[in-house]
Amino acid sequence: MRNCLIVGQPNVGKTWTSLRLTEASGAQVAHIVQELPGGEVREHTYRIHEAVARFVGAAEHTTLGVQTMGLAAAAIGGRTVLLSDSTGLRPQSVEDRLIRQGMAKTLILLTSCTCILHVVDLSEIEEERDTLSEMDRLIQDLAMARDAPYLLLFNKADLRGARKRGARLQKRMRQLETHLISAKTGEGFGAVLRAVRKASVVH
Amino acid sequence: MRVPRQNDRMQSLSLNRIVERFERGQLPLEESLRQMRRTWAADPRKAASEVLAEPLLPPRQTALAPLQDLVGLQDVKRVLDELYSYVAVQALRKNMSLAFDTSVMHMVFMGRPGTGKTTIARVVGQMFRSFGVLSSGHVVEVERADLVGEYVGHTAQRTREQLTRARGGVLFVDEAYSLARGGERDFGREAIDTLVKGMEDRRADLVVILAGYEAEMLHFLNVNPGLYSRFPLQFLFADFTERELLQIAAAMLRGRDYRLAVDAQVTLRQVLRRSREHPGFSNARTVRNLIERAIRRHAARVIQVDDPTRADLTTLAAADFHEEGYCAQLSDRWSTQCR
Repeated sequence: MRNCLIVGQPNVGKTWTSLRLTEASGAQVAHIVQELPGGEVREHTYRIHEAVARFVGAAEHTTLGVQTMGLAAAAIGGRTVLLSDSTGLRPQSVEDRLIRQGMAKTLILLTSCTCILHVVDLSEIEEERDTLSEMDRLIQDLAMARDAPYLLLFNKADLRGARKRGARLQKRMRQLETHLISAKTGEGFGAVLRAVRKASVVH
Repeated sequence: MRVPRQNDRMQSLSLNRIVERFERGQLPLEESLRQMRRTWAADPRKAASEVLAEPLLPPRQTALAPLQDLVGLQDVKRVLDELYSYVAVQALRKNMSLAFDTSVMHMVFMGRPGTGKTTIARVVGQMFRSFGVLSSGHVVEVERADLVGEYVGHTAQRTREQLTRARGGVLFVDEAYSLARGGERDFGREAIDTLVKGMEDRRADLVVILAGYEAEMLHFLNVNPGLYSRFPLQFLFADFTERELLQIAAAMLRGRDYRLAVDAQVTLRQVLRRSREHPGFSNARTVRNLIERAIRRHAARVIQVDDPTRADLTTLAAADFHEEGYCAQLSDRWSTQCR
């Protein structure tokens, strides 16, 4: 079974990205299994737009634990691919035990998943330096060392100036597989889905 | 699916351990990611044993072990023992990315020459390094001439050079009070200011130790307001007692594979007692000079013996320690000319 991890810093749009990907795979509903810190497991079935309203709200939202959803098998060449939407990795020291447990889950998945989708918020990239933050570079380093398929997704391309910056970064990171996406508008997900399918077949 | 490698088990063991430590809040996220990456990149077997074996802090005995070999210095040892807990907690805080500060670690060492100030400075450097408080722990010894320049602007530059050399370790300023001599227009003042500024800039990775005679150092700290608070740790190095001096002598002889004849022990004690009253007496250094002089005389004596035995070659006699005429009246600096 293929297991793709969606990883990144908090509030870069991981949850929305995974819902968009589910949508792009042709699934009508998202079947979501929530694994909460502490061991509680909940299952939900939502239509995509309901799930977006439920999990992505306008206010800052924190995913605790892991939310797993399946991609429609048809779109992935008949294989089952699970998407794991994880707790964001934040660089500041965290007092909250629940968030830390969630982050520990993310770390475990980082080392065990078969494919890594790394989401980066274009609007958070430092204006002058034009490079990834320290945290994102560490995630990237680990993914590279693991030798698992790795996709870098530049999210929030719909924001002003983001598209230009994203293009610059893509050019700089030519050796990596990068995609410019917007979870808000749904732009770029067809290409990401194709990449996920390719990664699932090869490995 | 890839075939699982043979050492996958070791690898997952160390990965679990890293995640566990992160979850308990013992490891910051960045460090966890770095360690996990190392586990992958390097030979997994080695990485695993590294992670499993790595203690968070060196235990008290290990950190303070170099002190055990030193004779005397009871007060200094006691304060360093107290400092252990403090440094250990600072190191744990640093490890968890909490605010952490070495500016409270700067020290003043007061004592006469030969009382072990430089030796202790080295121990402190290594101790801080083993905690990760300093990155290299080396000791850079400087004195006035290394810090104070000859023309305007030269001093700050020189002092900064020394600070750069000492980065990651200990800057040991010997006879620091001499920076304040020469009055208002002297460049020493500038050296002090640059030093203090450098201490604040590089607070993360430098410890400054000012050393010198007790009276002079107290005066120096008094006439330079602000220095007291910047050097909160003050150590007094007492003169060694006669007994301790003899222990030092014994240790030095052991290290050089010599031993004392019975009468030589008495003579050495007498010589030490007399030189202790001398103003030029410099504790352990005087002992070392006495012993080295004795070894040279011993050599001159033994070369005339036909076919010397093992005992001949190792035993220092009373005659080797005898003072000749007025030599004892002079400080050891001059007494070397009396040989």
